[in-house]
Amino acid sequence: MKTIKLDIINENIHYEKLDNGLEIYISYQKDYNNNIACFLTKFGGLDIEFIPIGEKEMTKMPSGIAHFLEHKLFEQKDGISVNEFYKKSGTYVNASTNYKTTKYIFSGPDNFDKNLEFLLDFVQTPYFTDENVKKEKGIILEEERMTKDDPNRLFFETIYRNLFNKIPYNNTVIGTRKDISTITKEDLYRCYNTFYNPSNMALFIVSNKKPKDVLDIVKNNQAKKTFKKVKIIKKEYNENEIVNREKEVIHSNVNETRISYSLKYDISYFEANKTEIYDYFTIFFNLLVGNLSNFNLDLKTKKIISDDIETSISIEKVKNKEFVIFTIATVSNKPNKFVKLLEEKLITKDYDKKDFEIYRKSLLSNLIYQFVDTTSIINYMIDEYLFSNKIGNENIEIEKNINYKRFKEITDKLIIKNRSIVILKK
Amino acid sequence: MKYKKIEKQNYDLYYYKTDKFKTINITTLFINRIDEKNITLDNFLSSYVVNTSKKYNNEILMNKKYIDLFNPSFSVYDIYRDLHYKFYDLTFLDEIYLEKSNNKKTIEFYYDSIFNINESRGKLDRIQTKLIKEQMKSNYLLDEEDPTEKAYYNSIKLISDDLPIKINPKGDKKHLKKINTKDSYSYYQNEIKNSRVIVFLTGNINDDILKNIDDTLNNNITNNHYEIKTYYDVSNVSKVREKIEKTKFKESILYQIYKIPDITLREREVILPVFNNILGGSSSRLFNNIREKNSLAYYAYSNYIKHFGILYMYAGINYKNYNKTIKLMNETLDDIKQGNILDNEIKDSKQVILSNLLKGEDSIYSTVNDMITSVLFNKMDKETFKKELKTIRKEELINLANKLELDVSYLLKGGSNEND
Repeated sequence: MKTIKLDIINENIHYEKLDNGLEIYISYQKDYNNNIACFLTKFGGLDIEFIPIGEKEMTKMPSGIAHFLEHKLFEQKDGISVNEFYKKSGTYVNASTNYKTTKYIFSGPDNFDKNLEFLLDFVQTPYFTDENVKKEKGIILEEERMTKDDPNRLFFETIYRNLFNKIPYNNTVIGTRKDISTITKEDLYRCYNTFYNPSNMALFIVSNKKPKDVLDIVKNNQAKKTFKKVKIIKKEYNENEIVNREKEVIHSNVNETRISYSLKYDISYFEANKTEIYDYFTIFFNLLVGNLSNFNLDLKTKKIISDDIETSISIEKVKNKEFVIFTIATVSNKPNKFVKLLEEKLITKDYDKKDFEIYRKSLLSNLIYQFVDTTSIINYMIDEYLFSNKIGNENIEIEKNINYKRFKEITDKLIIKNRSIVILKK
Repeated sequence: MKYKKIEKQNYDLYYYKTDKFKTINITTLFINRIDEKNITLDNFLSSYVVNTSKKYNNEILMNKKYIDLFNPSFSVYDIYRDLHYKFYDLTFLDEIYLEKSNNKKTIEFYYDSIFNINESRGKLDRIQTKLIKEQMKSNYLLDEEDPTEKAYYNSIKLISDDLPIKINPKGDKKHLKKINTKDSYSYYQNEIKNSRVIVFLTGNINDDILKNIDDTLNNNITNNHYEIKTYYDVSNVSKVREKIEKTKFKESILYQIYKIPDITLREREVILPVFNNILGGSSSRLFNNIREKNSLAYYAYSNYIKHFGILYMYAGINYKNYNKTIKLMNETLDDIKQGNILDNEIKDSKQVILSNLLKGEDSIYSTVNDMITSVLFNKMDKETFKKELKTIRKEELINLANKLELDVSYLLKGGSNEND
């Protein structure tokens, strides 16, 4: 087992990759009562076209199948249900699916060894029947109805759908009512056998048990099971920098109008690694349009916006390419005026250099805040893993060495191109 | 949790010293009389204090100061019961992880924000007032987009007794217009001067921190006293209040609210949490009957408000399943009333509650909340609670179930078309 020492915050993460391909990350927290584990598979709402294991042809699955599968893994063939098993030790259990991953989580202070074994067992023992698939459709259709009442979800889905030409963001994670209704147990098994192989999965644990003991539980459990070696072949998308739709106005039952403004770049354009891009542009947008900027305050004063301007940065990988997306969003009843002023600001880039130093200083505290409780620690590990495909000191090193010269080099390159605007109104 | 009390001339201080957390929390509580007309104003002032101060007079300067102090979390919020409780809540990283003197600087900033509000000549700042009112207006409009919030408050309002839980602690956008710079300032000053003040301190605290707090508070507050009411009794139900409210939402949300007349102290504190867990906790009777067996809802739970003797069941459903869901809710409760509770259900529910107690010890926020509710509302200490929990008998749960009286049946009616 390898120990990764995280600088500055004085924390260790223990890592091992098993022969079956499963990656395990453990944070030992002896002073906490609680233990948390997350079993993750890289299978999400976007993964609907692939060659199922044992087959030769590319298949297209109904939208929402990853989320449906997540629900169905809580069904066990014999004996106790997943919820009832965990309730016996007062343990919380849940699962979630997004565009790229599905996660199964338990959290509780007692019965850790058995809870961990059971997590591995229930996720690795599917049991789908025509009857239990039919039953689940009713529940998921109710969930789908509930999501229709969430305008922010519609807004977010539209932003991504309009940014990408090829990556199938036109499918929602939950799926359409029509697609949900067509899902069969055979579909579920084909997806399960392809994506729930340990080589496509990772396990994250924060525990007060010694890492070696934790690892032994996982190793012993996995040694009892056999898994085929698989090579997952997903449909590859020839995504390019061009956005799918430059502007769209969508309507929903909202009282306040939302506006999002996104820019899309091939990551190589910035001549920097993605951690640098993420860190420097996080600072950049905070200084330029965030809650440290006069811009934000001026627009509120002039009643152009009625909430803070939020920015987010995401990285999208396809084939051998990566794209970086900057999204700036707010609540505004004058969305066109907002876009005009925002673009002027993005061109002039007038921020106060002194604010850079203030912000840089606070990066250290942000890192320490990631280690204040078991939930924040496991989230840190998962986010790092999904961002970099590993956990290490590289990103911390970059944060330690953030400087104004490099900040200017990278952020001065920003120009307005490949923009996509979404307006959500009544 | 063994917290300590220090009685000061003008205020009481409770503290819990522990090095378990990397953060320190200071919560300064101002208790004053309640005036329902001023709830929107209370919310306005809570936002005003965290967004502007005399020294850092706009939100940019405040935000820069937060970052300069390594991102402390400063929030102000209001709770209404028999009295108005305003909590000034500050959580910050201990300076041992940062730089020396940051604790002192952060505490100074915190109290400076509270006691040196941004005013001039007896009026709050006009521009900041306008900005915060605009932000609040927007937030009210955004809240109205949320069906779950609407269903909760609209159903609670129908409870037949006059209980403070019927007050929406966020206020009302209609009252925003009345807020002006002069009256708001004098109201704030009056609250500061005439409140009972209690300070709660948690984390790796030392004498310097205690001295910093004491120096500030001695100069800024006076000694006041208000008696706190802990428990409320509810009356018997004479007629069930039923309401179906048609809305623009797709989902329908059903609430069945029960009053529990003649509830005893042990029932409120010990029996009710276990009963609720069996009825409507995770993997409970409601979850299994409504969701798992009948696929009628994505969620179906129950919850309780122990100090007011209230329990409610709720579920997000399709309107066409309204009658069926009510029938299942009634049958689920009737089954318990008739004594059908398994020993394992009681055991598992107790275990869930004990685990949550242990998990709470890992969180500074839960630890602070425990101390506050113990001091203000006589929350049972953990050891006593655990002992009481062990002695629960099935008959006590059945007896409690039979005390429940349906008071409100409310439906937030969404789209009825199955294909919506």
